[in-house]
Amino acid sequence: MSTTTTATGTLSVGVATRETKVKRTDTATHWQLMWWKFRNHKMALLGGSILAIMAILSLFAEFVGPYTPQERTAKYAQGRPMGFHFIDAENSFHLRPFVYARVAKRNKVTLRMETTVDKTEMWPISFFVRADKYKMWGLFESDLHLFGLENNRHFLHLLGTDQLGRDMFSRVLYATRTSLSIGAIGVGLAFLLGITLGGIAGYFGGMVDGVIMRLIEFIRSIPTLPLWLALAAALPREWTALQVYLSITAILALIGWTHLARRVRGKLLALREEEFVLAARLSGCSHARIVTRHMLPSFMSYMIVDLTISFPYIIMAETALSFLGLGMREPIVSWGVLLYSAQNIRSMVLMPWLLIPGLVVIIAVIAFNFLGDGMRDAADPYTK
Amino acid sequence: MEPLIKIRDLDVTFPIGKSGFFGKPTAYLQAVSGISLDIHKRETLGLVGESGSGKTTLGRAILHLEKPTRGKVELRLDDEYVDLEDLNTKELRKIWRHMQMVFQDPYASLNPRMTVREIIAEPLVVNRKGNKNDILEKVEKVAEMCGLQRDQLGRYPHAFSGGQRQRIAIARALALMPQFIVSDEPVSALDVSIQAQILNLFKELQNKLGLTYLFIAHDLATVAHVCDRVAVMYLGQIVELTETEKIFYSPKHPYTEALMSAIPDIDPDRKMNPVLSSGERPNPANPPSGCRFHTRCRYVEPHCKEVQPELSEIVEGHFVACHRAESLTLQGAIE
Amino acid sequence: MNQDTLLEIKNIYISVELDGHSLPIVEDVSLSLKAGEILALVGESGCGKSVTAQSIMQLLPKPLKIESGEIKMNSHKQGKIIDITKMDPRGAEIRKIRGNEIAMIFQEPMSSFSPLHTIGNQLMEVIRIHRKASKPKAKAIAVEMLDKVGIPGAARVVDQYPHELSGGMRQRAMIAKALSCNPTLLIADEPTTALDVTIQAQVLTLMHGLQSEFGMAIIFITHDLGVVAQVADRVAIMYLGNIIEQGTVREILKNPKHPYTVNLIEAVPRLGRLEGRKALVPIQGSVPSLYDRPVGCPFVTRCTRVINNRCEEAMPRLLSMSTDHQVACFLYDSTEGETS
Ligand SMILES: Nc1ncnc2c1ncn2[C@@H]1O[C@H](COP(=O)(O)OP(=O)(O)OP(=O)(O)O)[C@@H](O)[C@H]1O
Ligand SMILES: Nc1ncnc2c1ncn2[C@@H]1O[C@H](COP(=O)(O)OP(=O)(O)O)[C@@H](O)[C@H]1O
Ligand code: SF4
Ligand code: SF4
Ligand SMILES: [Mg+2]
Ligand SMILES: [Mg+2]
Repeated sequence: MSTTTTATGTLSVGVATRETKVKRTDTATHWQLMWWKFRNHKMALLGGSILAIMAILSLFAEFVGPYTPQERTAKYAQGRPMGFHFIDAENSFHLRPFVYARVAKRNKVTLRMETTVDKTEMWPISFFVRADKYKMWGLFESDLHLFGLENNRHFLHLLGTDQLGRDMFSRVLYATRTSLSIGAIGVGLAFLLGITLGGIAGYFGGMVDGVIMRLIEFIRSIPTLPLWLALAAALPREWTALQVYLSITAILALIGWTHLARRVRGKLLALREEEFVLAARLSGCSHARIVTRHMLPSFMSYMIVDLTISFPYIIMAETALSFLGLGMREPIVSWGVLLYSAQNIRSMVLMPWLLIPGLVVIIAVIAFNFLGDGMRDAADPYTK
Repeated sequence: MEPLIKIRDLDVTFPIGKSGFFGKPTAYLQAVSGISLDIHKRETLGLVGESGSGKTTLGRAILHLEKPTRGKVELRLDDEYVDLEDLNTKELRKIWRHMQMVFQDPYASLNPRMTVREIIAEPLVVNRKGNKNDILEKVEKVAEMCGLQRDQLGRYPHAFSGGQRQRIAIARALALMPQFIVSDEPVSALDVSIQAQILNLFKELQNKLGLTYLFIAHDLATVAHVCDRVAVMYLGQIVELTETEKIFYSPKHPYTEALMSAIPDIDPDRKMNPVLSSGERPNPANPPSGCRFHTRCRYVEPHCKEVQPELSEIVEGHFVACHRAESLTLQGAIE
Repeated sequence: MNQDTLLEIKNIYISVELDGHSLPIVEDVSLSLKAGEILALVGESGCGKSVTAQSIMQLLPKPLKIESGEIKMNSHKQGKIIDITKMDPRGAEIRKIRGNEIAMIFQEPMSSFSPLHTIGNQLMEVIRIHRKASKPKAKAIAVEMLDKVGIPGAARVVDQYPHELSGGMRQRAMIAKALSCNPTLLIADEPTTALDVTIQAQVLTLMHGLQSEFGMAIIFITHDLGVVAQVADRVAIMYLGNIIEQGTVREILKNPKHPYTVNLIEAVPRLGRLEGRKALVPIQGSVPSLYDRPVGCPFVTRCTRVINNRCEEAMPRLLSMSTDHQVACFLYDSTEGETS
């Protein structure tokens, strides 16, 4: 006998013993598996965290922001972002952060008012200060702010101010709230429409399906941008900010639902023929039980992924409309509204900090995409 | 003896190529065309044919999972025939206690979001077969019968291999103690070394519970092994039907001969000699006139292209649909 | 390397990187193939057949990697022996081999055709690259190839798109594409698994004919022992990334030695045993997953003849039983030490 090969496993990493052990995944529910898979996706976690922080901060915009969005600091109009410090000019450390004082002086040559930094005076930042009154979510009054300056003749503009001296930091917070909520409500509405109409089309099929599909094709064949423009331009000028807000959301949702409806329909049609759904029918399940127990859970995860992915589209659409001056208007602030005021070249050159909302939009959209990626992976947790 | 299931002139037609405003179909595909068949109690009837010949559709139509467009299916229950056509949705659900199905793909036929216990229990729960404890007891009994262990029942399907999943699917089909089971290629998605376990399980359950099977398969050796009678389908029609031995030793239909000659035998000394060397499968939406097999038949005569042969009993218990069945001497898979 | 040996795989080791671990997928596989020979690579799904085949072409997907071993080929076109493992998977050297000296066909024929171009154009592209033929010449060769693989009306089919052909036709067209550059080795990865028996028979007959006409060697991957018996000269049986038995078809199928092979042949329904139709003898349990690779012999969890204190400890070596029959099982290995 001759040896053809010498074979003794040298590489035995990850080799298990003979007993089959019960793995934790064996008894894990679908959502658990999805979460375990999702959490391996570092970028998605990062995106999710960024969005969560944005949402929480902006939800409490009145409390977190030191000013209300329309409040003006006339003497610091067009002011640069004020950096806060812990270490002063003499190199001594202060536990409480501070900003340097600003003094307004008339420029002898140009005869314009200019503010300069006065490094000899420090304005310490306090937490939980009592300052301007506001009405939290329009419900109850308060004047407590997360941070601010005790002395109400001093001012604090971390991200600078706009032409009228309004605090950019606070305005970005309020804008984030508007834009994210438009996204959420828009996606929600689109989802409702999409699920209902797509569900009807997919479950009943036949003629109903035909009519709904033709309607969807019709809507999709209209170029979106002109349609938005037309609808938005048709909004009466005298409408209140709230009415405008709601209508814009509705307009965006009206177009967004078609995509979702098609997905819902397609998925339902496919699921109807899935073997486990057939097996459920054979087991004697009623239509209601088949839909709620077998079909809905199966496609909920896909729908959530779809929602996450369509979120940034709605946000960008709102931003674009408002940027063109056709969407939201002051006194409501949204990302688009803020960018609208940064439109001309002069302000871009002289006051680049007015473009910060643009940066926030970009960060949010990227974060949504990361999140969507992770969710897409997690939606099918059974593949390695 | 009276058959358990009587199938008469069954047609299943699918609309295809939708167009127009309301999605009116532009064409129809007859997946099952005028099939009549008796299935006897405690037998295993094999159904073979190439892909797309309508095996799955026939299986589903027998259960009325797919509504036949024409013809009827009758099930013998308490010495009386129930015509499935007459039943409404609720009554059909009751009938399905007696007729069940095992699907081809054990990865798709189990709801990934239910534990094995829930899956097997579902038919019992929705059919209100006793209280919670009775049901759990029944689930464990049927699971054990199918070779599943009690401590596995709390797991989700993804924790199981293909063979074990097929056991779960069989246990679910058996939970209501049906008389008749359609098994649609129950082993073709499984590893070769697992197939025998499942085939044996089918046999064992049949002996124990007196089950009747319609066994769909495309692997002829498997069919030869498990079936008592075999029906050969071609483009939606049954072309030959008889006992397994006769089908394999002395086929009477040219298509059966072609199928038999194409079986690759595991014995290297028995080289196969396929007779069907050319010709493509016709489009099922537009089947050939006359005998549907005439485009590929090597015994074709002008007559065949015009007149469709009927499935007729040429010898006792041997049904063939070929004009030349009586005159041809065909070769079987085994001499 | 022997003169008439075409391909020699020596102790190849392939692993996958998963969650920071490196798991073995193909362990210490050695194979050799003579010119003009048909070798069947048999095993259940997931045992590493495709991965082994892909490694020959340096086509391993991303997380997979050849850890060690060598794949040597006696290149007739280059007139020398080349080592494929030394080549850069994206380099020019391997591209000279792929499609030229070694061609590959897959289970799903759609995957090797682009839906956007006609069959003819896709064939001509290959022909023009490898044979440096002019356009009309290439088209003539394409028609000739399609004709050779038994496609009726080849002159019409060259101008059709892949989706217009039926499964069997597409499979043939793919074979035609693979053959159009006259490879010395054809790797066919489950080329008939998705086909009906009648069409499978046609494809098998076709491959046999082409092998004798062109004299090329074929590695035929399948899990169907019937197909093996019908097409192959030699067989290698794989289980969990290892070759556990190999030899001539007749030897392996008629005189199997390894418990897995023996049981597998027992477990497959076959026509010759129609009478009586007794219960099949199944193999217990199921194929362990890659993550639960048992220690020792890969078959130890299902084997009925386990030798205590041996089979669970080490991997049995592949030993020669006769001139062309090797088995890796301790039942046939009386020695404890290195070589006998
Ligand atoms: N829902 C459907 N709509 C339209 N055509 C269908 C539908 N279901 C099946 N068909 C067609 O009916 C014919 C028979 O299909 P069926 O699934 O019964 O074949 P089969 O014999 O089970 O094939 P396989 O061996 O591939 O499972 C095929 O031509 C198929 O394309
Ligand atoms: N791209 C990949 N990533 C991770 N694992 C893989 C990959 N490709 C194959 N594998 C694993 O390698 C093993 C062998 O696969 P393969 O060679 O495709 O099996 P088969 O014998 O069925 O052809 C399987 O366990 C498979 O899961
Ligand atoms: S009827 Fe004619 S064409 Fe049809 S199978 Fe018989 S001999 Fe062939
Ligand atoms: S080495 Fe041992 S476990 Fe492996 S096949 Fe041989 S006897 Fe069975
Ligand atoms: Mg089928
Ligand atoms: Mg493979």
